[in-house]
Amino acid sequence: MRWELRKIWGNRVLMVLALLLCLANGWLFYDHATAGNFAQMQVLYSRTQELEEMEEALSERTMTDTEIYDDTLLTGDIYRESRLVGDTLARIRAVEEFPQTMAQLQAQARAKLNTGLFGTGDNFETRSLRLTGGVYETVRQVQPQVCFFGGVETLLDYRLADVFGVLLALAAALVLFAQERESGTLCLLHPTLRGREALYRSKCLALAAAVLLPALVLYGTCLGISAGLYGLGDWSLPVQSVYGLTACPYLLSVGGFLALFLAVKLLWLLALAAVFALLANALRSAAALVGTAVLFGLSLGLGTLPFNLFRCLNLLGLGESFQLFDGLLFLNFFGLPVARLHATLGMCLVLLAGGLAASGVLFVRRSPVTAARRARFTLSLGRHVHPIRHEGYKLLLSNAALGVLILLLAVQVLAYRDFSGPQGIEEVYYRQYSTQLSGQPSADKAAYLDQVEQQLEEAREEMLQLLSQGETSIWKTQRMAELGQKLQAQLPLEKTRTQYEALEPGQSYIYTTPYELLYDASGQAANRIDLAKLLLSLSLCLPFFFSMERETGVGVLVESAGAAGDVRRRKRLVAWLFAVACTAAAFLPRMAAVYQTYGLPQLTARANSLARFAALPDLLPLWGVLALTLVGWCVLAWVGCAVAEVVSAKVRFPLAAALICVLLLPGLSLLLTL
Amino acid sequence: MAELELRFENVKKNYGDKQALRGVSFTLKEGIYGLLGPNGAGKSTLLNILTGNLPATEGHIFLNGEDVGRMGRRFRAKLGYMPQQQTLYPGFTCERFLYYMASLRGMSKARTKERVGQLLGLLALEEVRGKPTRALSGGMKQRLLLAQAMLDDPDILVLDEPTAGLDPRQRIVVRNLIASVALHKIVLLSTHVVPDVEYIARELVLIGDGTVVCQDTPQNLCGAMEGKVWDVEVEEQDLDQMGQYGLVSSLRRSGDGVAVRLIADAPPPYPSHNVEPTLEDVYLHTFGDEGGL
Repeated sequence: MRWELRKIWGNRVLMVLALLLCLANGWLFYDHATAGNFAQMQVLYSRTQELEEMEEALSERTMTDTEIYDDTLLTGDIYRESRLVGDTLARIRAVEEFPQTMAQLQAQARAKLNTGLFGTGDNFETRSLRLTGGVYETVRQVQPQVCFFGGVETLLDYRLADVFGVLLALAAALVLFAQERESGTLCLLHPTLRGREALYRSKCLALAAAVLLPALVLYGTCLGISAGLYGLGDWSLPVQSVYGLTACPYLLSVGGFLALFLAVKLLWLLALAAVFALLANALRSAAALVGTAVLFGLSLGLGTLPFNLFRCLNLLGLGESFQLFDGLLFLNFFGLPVARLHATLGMCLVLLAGGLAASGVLFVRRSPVTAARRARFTLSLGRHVHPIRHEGYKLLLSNAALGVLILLLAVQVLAYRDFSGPQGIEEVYYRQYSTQLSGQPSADKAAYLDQVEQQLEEAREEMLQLLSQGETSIWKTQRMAELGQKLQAQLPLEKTRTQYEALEPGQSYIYTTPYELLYDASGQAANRIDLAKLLLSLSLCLPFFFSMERETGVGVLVESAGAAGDVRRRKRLVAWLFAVACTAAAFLPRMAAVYQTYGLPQLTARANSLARFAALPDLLPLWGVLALTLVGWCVLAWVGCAVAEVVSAKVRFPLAAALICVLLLPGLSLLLTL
Repeated sequence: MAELELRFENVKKNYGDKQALRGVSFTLKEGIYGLLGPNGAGKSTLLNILTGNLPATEGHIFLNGEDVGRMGRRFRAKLGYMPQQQTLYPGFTCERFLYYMASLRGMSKARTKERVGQLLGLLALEEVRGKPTRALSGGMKQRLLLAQAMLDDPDILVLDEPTAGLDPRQRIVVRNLIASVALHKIVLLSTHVVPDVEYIARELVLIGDGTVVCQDTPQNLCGAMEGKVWDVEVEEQDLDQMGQYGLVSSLRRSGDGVAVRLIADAPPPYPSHNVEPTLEDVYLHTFGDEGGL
């Protein structure tokens, strides 16, 4: 095993990357732990007897005081202090009301069973309800205590350590299996006495060590920082004493819970490592990276489905260790209710055993002679001498970039296929009025507005009249309902009128909803996530593309032909063109979804007709804003290409370069969304 | 101890429609055997099948009557393999690499230490034992790969182009080393360099286009060419004509003209005399007409 570990630890770039990840994890966790108000909450826990009085006093102050800032308070202002005290009291009350909560859950389960709403036979629902009652009957005996567990709470919702652990597991699997085969050393090892099953066992043990040791460092760092900042409370208390785990259905102490929480995380990482080993034995490094992205993309998709089985047991769902303990959820296995925790453990073991077995078969039986493997399907692009086409072939086919592009497009189309924005009656009215007023202001449009206002006024008066009438009748009720619906147009009309009357000469009235969806705060957040997907796609293909000549040794021939500069420039151009295609794939589906639902009206109108773009010059039309936005994303994609090129040149190990790009590019853009 | 026998029986290998090996059959006993043939003849394919790196489409290989596929680990325990490609771990030092390969061969620590020390000295790698393999020259890498193949003193030594990248002196050293360790072993040496096997090989197996063309001792092969190799004196302007009389083996300046070594059944119409055939002549005669390089 130690020889196999040397192959990982002997790679300086990977080791530096692992070290940087561990340091980044510590820094990011510290930031996460100190972002909330646990420090102040810890102080309040020492004054639990005074909290209710404090809450009342603060509530009064918020209503009477004109000055909100007060340096004597922990948070410095009365509103935040009030929220802090409220949050603290909520935690304390959750613990104090634990017996009632358990009784309530039991009663709910009994009631559901007795009503027969979920059937009366021996089906999954009735079995689950019976089991739920039984579980909470047992847990009801627990006596949670009030204690500050901020240190534990900060650990529970921090997932970046998981991400880093997964990346390091992937790197280890690729080095031990894919790289061994690609470099040709497997031809040397396979014919030896221990070159098959024994070698595979050593590699698996090394993989396990390479996954577990960094994971222990990552999670241990988080635990250490939590303990240092807030302490970890009394570990002997029941886990139901921790806020968020009140409904935990297991008889565990806080210490036992932490151990089990960590054990499940480690088992999940090992299961993922087995899946990565299978991919690494089946595919080249570049293709294995893409395959991993596909699997995680599928998992994300499964996580959005309404079926618990898919939501909980996909590759990502298996790592949600906190959700295994924060309540009782049964998964339906052919009518048998299985608790989510047990199902998760079982699934991880199946993935671990299955992944290792399948990759073992591939490792031992598959020929390590890569020259013997012939592509079943080849794309003939004809004979040509155009150098750009050669570079295009290298990127799109040799490095599977075409597959990545198609995958990105598919992910985006699926992600936005059920796109929906504002849908209510007010939006309908607003859209109706906007359709009438769309374009340059005119007397007719002003008259229309007045007419609608007049109609609303009449409706209001009729409503008042009906309300003042004493008797009720079916006709009256019906009429009032109709008028009520009509009067819902009031707010949209006011919004429309305000927007219309704010127009300056040369500006046009535009239905704002589609543009708000694209550019408001949630739209910008969605754009950043799409940017992360775009940069991830570039990170999967470009490092291998840029280092092809060096890795294959063809670079020597290119250099001696005096064509190194030309090849570099063509590669850059091809990469930029690919980046443009990826930008379109990443951002156009969302625009198309908005267009499909709401349209993109008045594209030729001045952009500063919309309040959001008021600062823009008169000459710029709306289509110009959209185009500039896309160009902006293209520029960011080109920056990503440049980073990938630089990293590939500096880091001689393409797998490490790809991992660095994956961390740097999409990682940075995701951090911007936090 | 019974003599070792390695028998190839109708070994075939297809890559889709292409037949890389078309039913290769031959037998090897203890001694050095040269595997000669042009590029694409199937030499490396045959060695990859022997070492288990490639499955054969058809056919079997037997060691002392037992199918090596069924033997599995027992066969691999007797095998030492040196591949054609210089596949090493760039971050491992020479010594570490040999220790690693020894661990894969199940050698004890003591024996590993002894053999590593011996082989590093024998192959002139003492001075670079602590250097990472990425810092070695091509010739040193080649010698390191040979060292790992010989680590456990295997009964069957398979060497694919062992002298590639070595200078003439090193070639002789390696050749002599192979000859000295070949006692009670089967050494199968695949090479393009005819002198590598000319003096040390018990027999040569000539492979062409996926089939065994012939298997015989160097002396018999050369003997079969007796009377077919001519040393011809021609004027420079007549040089272009020589191709129609036979296969030109080599050229050298001789006085005002050129001395051509010609392989032909009959003498050309120029001053010529028979010369002793060499294995290069045999190689050219056997494979010379198989188009291209």
